[in-house]
Amino acid sequence: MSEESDEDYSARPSRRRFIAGAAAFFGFTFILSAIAGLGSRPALRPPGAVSEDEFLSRCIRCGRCVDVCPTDGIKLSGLLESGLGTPVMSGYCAVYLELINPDPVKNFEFKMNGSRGTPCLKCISACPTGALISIPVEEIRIGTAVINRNTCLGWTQHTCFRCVAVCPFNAVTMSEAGGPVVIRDICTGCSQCVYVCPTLPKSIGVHPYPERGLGYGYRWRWGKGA
Amino acid sequence: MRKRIQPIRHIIQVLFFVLLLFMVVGTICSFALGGVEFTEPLGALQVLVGVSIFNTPEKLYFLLASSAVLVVVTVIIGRAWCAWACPIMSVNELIEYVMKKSHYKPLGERGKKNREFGETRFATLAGVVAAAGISGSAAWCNFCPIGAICRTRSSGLIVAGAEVMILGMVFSANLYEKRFFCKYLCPVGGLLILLSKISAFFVPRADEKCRSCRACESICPEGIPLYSNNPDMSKCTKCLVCYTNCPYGAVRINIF
Repeated sequence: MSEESDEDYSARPSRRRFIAGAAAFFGFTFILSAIAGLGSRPALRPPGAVSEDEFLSRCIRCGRCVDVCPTDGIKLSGLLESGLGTPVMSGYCAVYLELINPDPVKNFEFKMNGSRGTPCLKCISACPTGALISIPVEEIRIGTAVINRNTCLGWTQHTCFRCVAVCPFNAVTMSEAGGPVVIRDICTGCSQCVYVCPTLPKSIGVHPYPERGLGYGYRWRWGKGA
Repeated sequence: MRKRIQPIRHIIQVLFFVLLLFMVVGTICSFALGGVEFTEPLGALQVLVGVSIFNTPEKLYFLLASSAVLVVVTVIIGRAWCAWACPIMSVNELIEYVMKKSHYKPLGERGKKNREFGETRFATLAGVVAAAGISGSAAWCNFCPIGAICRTRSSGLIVAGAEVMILGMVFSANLYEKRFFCKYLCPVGGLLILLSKISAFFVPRADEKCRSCRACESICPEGIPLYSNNPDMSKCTKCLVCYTNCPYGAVRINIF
Protein backbone atom coordinates (compact mmCIF):
# COMPACT_ATOMS: atom_id res chain seq x y z
CA MET A 1 0.00 0.00 0.00
CA SER A 2 2.84 2.31 0.77
CA GLU A 3 4.54 1.53 -2.51
CA GLU A 4 2.21 3.60 -4.60
CA SER A 5 3.24 7.02 -3.41
CA ASP A 6 6.56 7.12 -5.24
CA GLU A 7 5.14 7.12 -8.71
CA ASP A 8 1.65 8.26 -7.98
CA TYR A 9 2.73 11.43 -6.31
CA SER A 10 3.36 13.20 -9.54
CA ALA A 11 0.11 11.91 -11.00
CA ARG A 12 -1.88 15.01 -11.78
CA PRO A 13 -5.62 15.16 -11.32
CA SER A 14 -7.40 14.25 -14.49
CA ARG A 15 -8.68 16.95 -16.74
CA ARG A 16 -12.22 15.97 -15.94
CA ARG A 17 -11.63 16.48 -12.25
CA PHE A 18 -10.03 19.83 -12.88
CA ILE A 19 -12.96 21.02 -14.95
CA ALA A 20 -15.42 19.66 -12.40
CA GLY A 21 -13.59 21.46 -9.62
CA ALA A 22 -13.42 24.70 -11.56
CA ALA A 23 -17.10 24.48 -12.42
CA ALA A 24 -18.02 23.70 -8.82
CA PHE A 25 -16.04 26.59 -7.47
CA PHE A 26 -17.32 28.87 -10.17
CA GLY A 27 -20.84 27.94 -9.18
CA PHE A 28 -20.04 28.32 -5.49
CA THR A 29 -18.55 31.78 -5.92
CA PHE A 30 -21.17 32.89 -8.37
CA ILE A 31 -24.18 31.69 -6.40
CA LEU A 32 -22.87 33.02 -3.12
CA SER A 33 -22.15 36.42 -4.61
CA ALA A 34 -25.59 36.42 -6.17
CA ILE A 35 -27.00 35.73 -2.71
CA ALA A 36 -24.92 38.56 -1.31
CA GLY A 37 -26.26 40.77 -4.09
CA LEU A 38 -29.87 39.84 -3.37
CA GLY A 39 -30.26 41.89 -0.25
CA SER A 40 -28.28 44.81 -1.55
CA ARG A 41 -29.86 48.22 -1.64
CA PRO A 42 -28.81 51.44 -3.30
CA ALA A 43 -25.96 52.65 -1.21
CA LEU A 44 -24.16 55.83 -0.32
CA ARG A 45 -20.77 55.16 -1.82
CA PRO A 46 -17.68 57.17 -0.91
CA PRO A 47 -16.85 60.25 -3.01
CA GLY A 48 -15.72 59.63 -6.57
CA ALA A 49 -17.41 56.26 -6.86
CA VAL A 50 -18.07 55.08 -10.39
CA SER A 51 -21.46 53.65 -11.39
CA GLU A 52 -22.71 50.91 -9.13
CA ASP A 53 -22.11 47.96 -11.45
CA GLU A 54 -18.66 49.16 -12.26
CA PHE A 55 -18.00 49.91 -8.63
CA LEU A 56 -18.79 46.34 -7.65
CA SER A 57 -16.53 44.98 -10.36
CA ARG A 58 -13.64 47.16 -9.26
CA CYS A 59 -13.89 47.14 -5.50
CA ILE A 60 -11.70 44.45 -3.98
CA ARG A 61 -13.00 45.15 -0.45
CA CYS A 62 -9.59 46.13 0.81
CA GLY A 63 -10.87 48.79 3.19
CA ARG A 64 -8.16 51.33 2.46
CA CYS A 65 -10.74 54.10 2.09
CA VAL A 66 -12.06 53.17 5.52
CA ASP A 67 -8.65 53.51 7.07
CA VAL A 68 -7.65 56.80 5.48
CA CYS A 69 -10.93 58.63 6.09
CA PRO A 70 -10.17 61.37 8.64
CA THR A 71 -13.79 61.49 9.85
CA ASP A 72 -14.30 57.71 10.11
CA GLY A 73 -17.20 58.29 7.79
CA ILE A 74 -16.82 55.10 5.75
CA LYS A 75 -17.50 51.57 6.87
CA LEU A 76 -17.53 48.22 5.13
CA SER A 77 -21.02 46.91 4.60
CA GLY A 78 -22.21 43.67 6.08
CA LEU A 79 -24.43 40.99 4.66
CA LEU A 80 -27.80 42.20 3.30
CA GLU A 81 -26.43 45.66 2.82
CA SER A 82 -24.90 46.67 -0.47
CA GLY A 83 -22.26 44.29 -1.75
CA LEU A 84 -20.70 42.42 1.13
CA GLY A 85 -17.54 44.10 2.31
CA THR A 86 -17.77 47.09 0.01
CA PRO A 87 -17.46 50.56 1.51
CA VAL A 88 -20.54 52.61 2.30
CA MET A 89 -20.82 55.99 3.97
CA SER A 90 -21.70 55.74 7.63
CA GLY A 91 -20.90 59.29 8.65
CA TYR A 92 -20.12 62.53 6.94
CA CYS A 93 -17.56 63.46 4.32
CA ALA A 94 -15.38 66.42 5.27
CA VAL A 95 -14.72 67.31 1.60
CA TYR A 96 -12.12 69.86 2.72
CA LEU A 97 -9.46 69.13 5.30
CA GLU A 98 -10.51 72.28 7.12
CA LEU A 99 -14.01 70.96 7.65
CA ILE A 100 -13.25 67.91 9.74
CA ASN A 101 -15.59 68.18 12.73
CA PRO A 102 -17.92 70.63 11.03
CA ASP A 103 -19.89 73.11 13.04
CA PRO A 104 -22.06 75.96 11.74
CA VAL A 105 -19.78 78.79 12.84
CA LYS A 106 -16.59 77.24 11.51
CA ASN A 107 -18.13 76.26 8.19
CA PHE A 108 -19.77 79.65 7.77
CA GLU A 109 -16.48 81.43 8.32
CA PHE A 110 -14.80 79.01 5.95
CA LYS A 111 -17.30 79.89 3.25
CA MET A 112 -17.05 83.62 3.96
CA ASN A 113 -13.28 83.55 3.53
CA GLY A 114 -13.82 82.74 -0.11
CA SER A 115 -10.81 80.45 -0.23
CA ARG A 116 -11.69 76.98 -1.32
CA GLY A 117 -9.52 75.15 1.17
CA THR A 118 -7.60 71.94 0.67
CA PRO A 119 -9.68 69.10 -0.75
CA CYS A 120 -9.46 65.96 1.37
CA LEU A 121 -10.46 63.08 -0.96
CA LYS A 122 -7.98 60.75 0.70
CA CYS A 123 -10.26 57.81 -0.04
CA ILE A 124 -9.96 58.46 -3.76
CA SER A 125 -6.19 58.50 -3.79
CA ALA A 126 -6.10 55.43 -1.54
CA CYS A 127 -8.31 53.32 -3.81
CA PRO A 128 -6.01 50.92 -5.67
CA THR A 129 -8.40 49.74 -8.36
CA GLY A 130 -10.20 52.80 -9.67
CA ALA A 131 -13.49 52.11 -7.95
CA LEU A 132 -13.14 55.69 -6.74
CA ILE A 133 -11.79 58.09 -9.33
CA SER A 134 -10.56 61.60 -8.75
CA ILE A 135 -13.00 64.35 -9.59
CA PRO A 136 -13.35 68.00 -8.61
CA VAL A 137 -14.99 68.33 -5.20
CA GLU A 138 -17.99 70.10 -6.71
CA GLU A 139 -18.77 67.00 -8.76
CA ILE A 140 -18.93 64.61 -5.83
CA ARG A 141 -22.30 62.89 -5.81
CA ILE A 142 -22.52 60.68 -2.77
CA GLY A 143 -26.25 61.28 -2.55
CA THR A 144 -28.80 64.01 -2.23
CA ALA A 145 -29.97 65.60 1.00
CA VAL A 146 -33.70 65.45 1.68
CA ILE A 147 -35.38 67.53 4.38
CA ASN A 148 -38.29 66.23 6.43
CA ARG A 149 -40.39 69.36 6.80
CA ASN A 150 -42.56 67.87 9.55
CA THR A 151 -39.76 67.70 12.06
CA CYS A 152 -37.28 70.29 10.76
CA LEU A 153 -36.97 73.15 13.24
CA GLY A 154 -36.56 75.59 10.39
CA TRP A 155 -39.93 74.67 8.95
CA THR A 156 -41.78 74.13 12.22
CA GLN A 157 -40.32 76.85 14.45
CA HIS A 158 -38.30 79.06 12.06
CA THR A 159 -35.11 78.61 14.06
CA CYS A 160 -31.91 76.57 13.78
CA PHE A 161 -30.77 76.71 10.10
CA ARG A 162 -27.57 74.96 11.03
CA CYS A 163 -27.71 73.00 7.77
CA VAL A 164 -27.76 76.26 5.82
CA ALA A 165 -24.72 77.54 7.70
CA VAL A 166 -22.80 74.31 7.52
CA CYS A 167 -23.24 73.31 3.88
CA PRO A 168 -19.83 73.81 2.22
CA PHE A 169 -21.40 74.26 -1.20
CA ASN A 170 -24.36 76.43 -0.25
CA ALA A 171 -26.63 73.69 -1.49
CA VAL A 172 -28.97 74.14 1.47
CA THR A 173 -30.52 77.59 1.31
CA MET A 174 -33.41 79.52 2.79
CA SER A 175 -36.56 79.29 0.77
CA GLU A 176 -39.06 82.07 0.47
CA ALA A 177 -41.48 79.99 2.52
CA GLY A 178 -39.09 80.32 5.44
CA GLY A 179 -37.56 76.88 5.74
CA PRO A 180 -34.36 75.39 4.38
CA VAL A 181 -34.45 73.68 0.99
CA VAL A 182 -31.86 71.62 -0.86
CA ILE A 183 -30.69 72.56 -4.33
CA ARG A 184 -30.29 69.10 -5.79
CA ASP A 185 -27.98 70.13 -8.60
CA ILE A 186 -25.33 71.39 -6.20
CA CYS A 187 -25.72 68.97 -3.29
CA THR A 188 -22.82 66.56 -3.01
CA GLY A 189 -24.36 64.45 -0.30
CA CYS A 190 -21.49 65.04 2.09
CA SER A 191 -23.86 64.66 5.07
CA GLN A 192 -22.33 67.47 7.09
CA CYS A 193 -25.84 68.89 7.43
CA VAL A 194 -26.97 65.54 8.83
CA TYR A 195 -24.08 65.64 11.27
CA VAL A 196 -25.07 69.01 12.70
CA CYS A 197 -28.85 68.57 12.60
CA PRO A 198 -30.01 68.87 16.23
CA THR A 199 -33.28 66.94 15.99
CA LEU A 200 -33.65 63.28 16.79
CA PRO A 201 -34.34 61.54 14.52
CA LYS A 202 -32.49 63.72 12.03
CA SER A 203 -34.72 65.96 9.96
CA ILE A 204 -32.32 65.90 7.04
CA GLY A 205 -31.01 62.76 5.49
CA VAL A 206 -28.92 61.85 2.47
CA HIS A 207 -30.46 59.48 -0.03
CA PRO A 208 -28.49 57.62 -2.71
CA TYR A 209 -27.99 59.52 -5.92
CA PRO A 210 -30.37 57.93 -8.43
CA GLU A 211 -28.16 58.39 -11.49
CA ARG A 212 -25.45 56.20 -10.00
CA GLY A 213 -27.66 53.19 -10.63
CA LEU A 214 -29.25 50.87 -8.17
CA GLY A 215 -26.95 48.62 -6.27
CA TYR A 216 -28.37 45.33 -7.31
CA GLY A 217 -25.06 44.36 -8.83
CA TYR A 218 -23.97 40.99 -10.04
CA ARG A 219 -25.82 41.23 -13.26
CA TRP A 220 -24.63 39.18 -16.16
CA ARG A 221 -22.01 41.15 -17.88
CA TRP A 222 -23.45 40.90 -21.34
CA GLY A 223 -26.75 42.11 -19.94
CA LYS A 224 -25.21 45.46 -19.16
CA GLY A 225 -25.38 48.42 -21.45
CA ALA A 226 -22.34 49.89 -23.11
CA MET B 1 19.77 26.81 13.91
CA ARG B 2 17.75 23.80 12.83
CA LYS B 3 15.58 23.89 15.93
CA ARG B 4 15.54 27.64 16.15
CA ILE B 5 14.16 28.38 12.69
CA GLN B 6 10.60 27.38 13.59
CA PRO B 7 10.23 29.77 16.58
CA ILE B 8 11.65 32.50 14.35
CA ARG B 9 9.06 31.71 11.71
CA HIS B 10 6.27 31.78 14.27
CA ILE B 11 7.44 35.15 15.56
CA ILE B 12 7.41 36.49 12.01
CA GLN B 13 3.94 35.04 11.52
CA VAL B 14 2.70 36.81 14.63
CA LEU B 15 4.33 40.05 13.51
CA PHE B 16 2.66 39.81 10.10
CA PHE B 17 -0.65 38.91 11.74
CA VAL B 18 -0.57 42.01 13.94
CA LEU B 19 0.76 44.12 11.10
CA LEU B 20 -1.83 43.07 8.55
CA LEU B 21 -4.79 43.16 10.92
CA PHE B 22 -4.05 46.25 12.95
CA MET B 23 -1.16 48.33 11.68
CA VAL B 24 -1.39 48.87 7.95
CA VAL B 25 -3.59 51.34 6.13
CA GLY B 26 -6.03 49.03 4.42
CA THR B 27 -6.07 45.27 4.63
CA ILE B 28 -4.09 42.43 3.13
CA CYS B 29 -6.04 42.95 -0.11
CA SER B 30 -4.34 46.29 -0.57
CA PHE B 31 -2.36 48.34 1.85
CA ALA B 32 0.18 51.07 2.21
CA LEU B 33 2.98 50.61 4.67
CA GLY B 34 5.72 53.14 4.74
CA GLY B 35 6.35 53.83 1.09
CA VAL B 36 5.33 50.37 -0.04
CA GLU B 37 2.06 49.96 -1.86
CA PHE B 38 0.83 46.40 -1.89
CA THR B 39 -2.09 44.82 -3.69
CA GLU B 40 -2.91 41.16 -3.50
CA PRO B 41 -2.48 39.76 -7.04
CA LEU B 42 -5.68 37.71 -7.17
CA GLY B 43 -7.76 40.80 -6.39
CA ALA B 44 -5.94 42.71 -9.12
CA LEU B 45 -6.44 39.81 -11.54
CA GLN B 46 -10.17 39.73 -10.82
CA VAL B 47 -10.45 43.45 -11.43
CA LEU B 48 -8.51 43.17 -14.66
CA VAL B 49 -10.75 40.40 -16.02
CA GLY B 50 -13.91 41.84 -14.48
CA VAL B 51 -13.90 45.33 -15.94
CA SER B 52 -14.11 45.94 -19.64
CA ILE B 53 -12.30 49.27 -19.88
CA PHE B 54 -10.00 50.79 -17.34
CA ASN B 55 -11.27 54.23 -16.44
CA THR B 56 -8.07 56.00 -15.49
CA PRO B 57 -4.58 54.97 -16.59
CA GLU B 58 -3.04 56.13 -13.29
CA LYS B 59 -5.15 53.64 -11.36
CA LEU B 60 -4.26 50.89 -13.81
CA TYR B 61 -0.55 51.57 -13.41
CA PHE B 62 -1.00 51.77 -9.68
CA LEU B 63 -2.82 48.44 -9.63
CA LEU B 64 -0.24 46.71 -11.78
CA ALA B 65 2.71 48.15 -9.88
CA SER B 66 1.33 47.45 -6.43
CA SER B 67 0.27 43.91 -7.27
CA ALA B 68 3.69 43.27 -8.76
CA VAL B 69 5.22 43.39 -5.27
CA LEU B 70 3.98 39.96 -4.24
CA VAL B 71 4.49 38.61 -7.75
CA VAL B 72 8.16 39.58 -7.67
CA VAL B 73 8.61 38.26 -4.13
CA THR B 74 7.01 34.97 -5.13
CA VAL B 75 9.06 34.62 -8.27
CA ILE B 76 12.21 35.13 -6.24
CA ILE B 77 11.63 33.18 -3.03
CA GLY B 78 8.66 31.05 -4.00
CA ARG B 79 5.46 30.64 -2.09
CA ALA B 80 6.94 31.85 1.19
CA TRP B 81 4.04 34.24 1.66
CA CYS B 82 1.76 31.39 2.75
CA ALA B 83 3.88 30.01 5.57
CA TRP B 84 5.45 33.24 6.77
CA ALA B 85 2.79 35.92 6.41
CA CYS B 86 -0.70 34.73 5.53
CA PRO B 87 -2.98 35.21 8.57
CA ILE B 88 -5.22 32.28 7.64
CA MET B 89 -2.26 29.94 7.51
CA SER B 90 -1.07 31.28 10.86
CA VAL B 91 -4.42 30.58 12.51
CA ASN B 92 -4.62 27.20 10.83
CA GLU B 93 -1.20 26.32 12.17
CA LEU B 94 -2.31 27.40 15.63
CA ILE B 95 -5.38 25.16 15.33
CA GLU B 96 -3.13 22.36 14.12
CA TYR B 97 -0.94 22.84 17.18
CA VAL B 98 -3.93 22.78 19.53
CA MET B 99 -5.28 19.65 17.84
CA LYS B 100 -1.91 17.96 18.23
CA LYS B 101 -1.66 18.89 21.89
CA SER B 102 -5.19 17.66 22.58
CA HIS B 103 -4.46 14.38 20.74
CA TYR B 104 -7.15 15.01 18.18
CA LYS B 105 -6.56 13.27 14.89
CA PRO B 106 -8.32 14.91 11.93
CA LEU B 107 -11.13 12.80 10.53
CA GLY B 108 -9.69 12.54 7.05
CA GLU B 109 -6.38 11.28 8.36
CA ARG B 110 -7.76 8.50 10.53
CA GLY B 111 -8.53 5.79 8.03
CA LYS B 112 -6.78 5.07 4.79
CA LYS B 113 -3.61 7.00 4.15
CA ASN B 114 -2.87 9.21 1.18
CA ARG B 115 -6.23 10.60 0.35
CA GLU B 116 -5.60 12.38 -2.90
CA PHE B 117 -7.83 15.24 -3.78
CA GLY B 118 -5.34 16.31 -6.37
CA GLU B 119 -4.32 19.86 -7.03
CA THR B 120 -7.75 21.39 -6.60
CA ARG B 121 -6.36 24.86 -5.98
CA PHE B 122 -5.87 25.47 -9.68
CA ALA B 123 -9.47 24.48 -10.26
CA THR B 124 -10.67 26.97 -7.66
CA LEU B 125 -8.41 29.60 -9.18
CA ALA B 126 -9.89 28.99 -12.63
CA GLY B 127 -13.40 29.04 -11.19
CA VAL B 128 -12.78 32.29 -9.33
CA VAL B 129 -11.30 34.04 -12.35
CA ALA B 130 -14.14 32.79 -14.55
CA ALA B 131 -16.70 33.98 -12.01
CA ALA B 132 -15.04 37.39 -11.91
CA GLY B 133 -15.00 37.64 -15.69
CA ILE B 134 -18.59 36.55 -16.22
CA SER B 135 -20.28 38.30 -13.33
CA GLY B 136 -18.17 41.40 -13.83
CA SER B 137 -17.51 41.66 -10.12
CA ALA B 138 -14.70 40.71 -7.82
CA ALA B 139 -16.84 37.78 -6.72
CA TRP B 140 -14.23 35.92 -4.72
CA CYS B 141 -13.51 38.99 -2.62
CA ASN B 142 -16.96 38.61 -1.09
CA PHE B 143 -16.00 35.34 0.46
CA CYS B 144 -12.26 35.42 0.78
CA PRO B 145 -11.44 34.31 4.33
CA ILE B 146 -8.06 36.05 4.14
CA GLY B 147 -9.80 39.33 3.43
CA ALA B 148 -12.53 38.52 5.95
CA ILE B 149 -10.11 38.07 8.82
CA CYS B 150 -8.38 41.33 7.93
CA ARG B 151 -11.63 43.23 7.50
CA THR B 152 -12.63 42.62 11.11
CA ARG B 153 -11.02 45.91 12.04
CA SER B 154 -12.41 47.90 9.13
CA SER B 155 -15.92 46.71 9.96
CA GLY B 156 -15.33 48.10 13.42
CA LEU B 157 -14.49 44.74 14.99
CA ILE B 158 -18.12 43.76 14.56
CA VAL B 159 -17.67 41.14 11.92
CA ALA B 160 -20.45 40.79 9.43
CA GLY B 161 -22.45 37.62 9.79
CA ALA B 162 -21.25 36.08 6.56
CA GLU B 163 -17.64 36.64 7.46
CA VAL B 164 -18.03 34.79 10.75
CA MET B 165 -19.59 31.97 8.76
CA ILE B 166 -16.74 31.89 6.24
CA LEU B 167 -14.04 31.96 8.87
CA GLY B 168 -15.88 29.30 10.85
CA MET B 169 -16.06 27.09 7.78
CA VAL B 170 -12.38 27.55 7.00
CA PHE B 171 -11.22 26.94 10.55
CA SER B 172 -13.53 24.01 11.24
CA ALA B 173 -12.38 22.32 8.03
CA ASN B 174 -9.17 21.72 9.97
CA LEU B 175 -11.09 19.09 11.91
CA TYR B 176 -11.39 17.08 8.72
CA GLU B 177 -7.88 17.61 7.51
CA LYS B 178 -5.09 19.87 8.64
CA ARG B 179 -5.07 23.15 6.69
CA PHE B 180 -7.87 21.93 4.48
CA PHE B 181 -8.50 25.37 3.04
CA CYS B 182 -4.86 26.11 2.32
CA LYS B 183 -4.29 22.68 0.83
CA TYR B 184 -7.30 22.29 -1.39
CA LEU B 185 -9.27 25.50 -1.83
CA CYS B 186 -7.16 28.64 -1.59
CA PRO B 187 -7.05 30.27 -5.05
CA VAL B 188 -4.39 32.72 -3.86
CA GLY B 189 -2.21 29.75 -3.04
CA GLY B 190 -2.91 28.35 -6.49
CA LEU B 191 -1.86 31.60 -8.10
CA LEU B 192 1.31 31.74 -6.02
CA ILE B 193 2.14 28.13 -6.97
CA LEU B 194 1.85 29.04 -10.63
CA LEU B 195 4.15 32.00 -10.07
CA SER B 196 6.66 30.02 -8.03
CA LYS B 197 7.06 27.44 -10.76
CA ILE B 198 9.77 29.70 -12.13
CA SER B 199 11.25 30.44 -8.72
CA ALA B 200 14.67 28.97 -8.16
CA PHE B 201 15.94 30.38 -4.88
CA PHE B 202 15.86 29.01 -1.32
CA VAL B 203 14.67 25.58 -2.37
CA PRO B 204 15.06 22.78 0.20
CA ARG B 205 16.91 19.79 -1.20
CA ALA B 206 17.85 16.41 0.22
CA ASP B 207 21.58 15.85 0.14
CA GLU B 208 23.57 12.59 0.13
CA LYS B 209 22.87 11.94 3.85
CA CYS B 210 19.25 11.23 2.93
CA ARG B 211 18.14 7.64 3.64
CA SER B 212 14.67 7.96 2.11
CA CYS B 213 12.95 7.53 5.46
CA ARG B 214 10.09 9.70 4.13
CA ALA B 215 9.87 11.70 7.35
CA CYS B 216 9.93 14.85 5.22
CA GLU B 217 6.93 13.74 3.18
CA SER B 218 4.85 12.91 6.22
CA ILE B 219 5.71 16.11 8.05
CA CYS B 220 5.48 18.46 5.07
CA PRO B 221 2.18 20.35 5.12
CA GLU B 222 2.07 20.05 1.35
CA GLY B 223 3.23 16.43 1.33
CA ILE B 224 6.22 17.05 -0.91
CA PRO B 225 8.41 13.89 -1.17
CA LEU B 226 11.71 15.64 -0.70
CA TYR B 227 13.60 12.34 -0.61
CA SER B 228 12.70 11.48 -4.19
CA ASN B 229 14.40 12.60 -7.35
CA ASN B 230 13.24 15.95 -8.64
CA PRO B 231 10.18 16.54 -6.50
CA ASP B 232 7.83 19.30 -7.66
CA MET B 233 8.92 22.15 -5.40
CA SER B 234 6.54 24.81 -6.67
CA LYS B 235 4.13 23.93 -3.86
CA CYS B 236 6.80 24.48 -1.22
CA THR B 237 5.82 27.20 1.23
CA LYS B 238 9.37 27.48 2.59
CA CYS B 239 8.10 26.70 6.08
CA LEU B 240 11.29 24.68 6.62
CA VAL B 241 9.75 22.02 8.85
CA CYS B 242 11.62 19.47 6.74
CA TYR B 243 14.83 21.28 7.54
CA THR B 244 13.99 21.26 11.26
CA ASN B 245 12.69 17.71 11.47
CA CYS B 246 14.85 15.64 9.18
CA PRO B 247 16.26 12.90 11.47
CA TYR B 248 19.52 12.73 9.49
CA GLY B 249 19.98 16.45 8.99
CA ALA B 250 19.93 15.80 5.29
CA VAL B 251 17.97 18.83 4.16
CA ARG B 252 19.88 21.75 2.76
CA ILE B 253 18.40 25.06 1.75
CA ASN B 254 19.93 25.88 -1.57
CA ILE B 255 20.09 29.59 -2.11
CA PHE B 256 20.53 28.95 -5.82
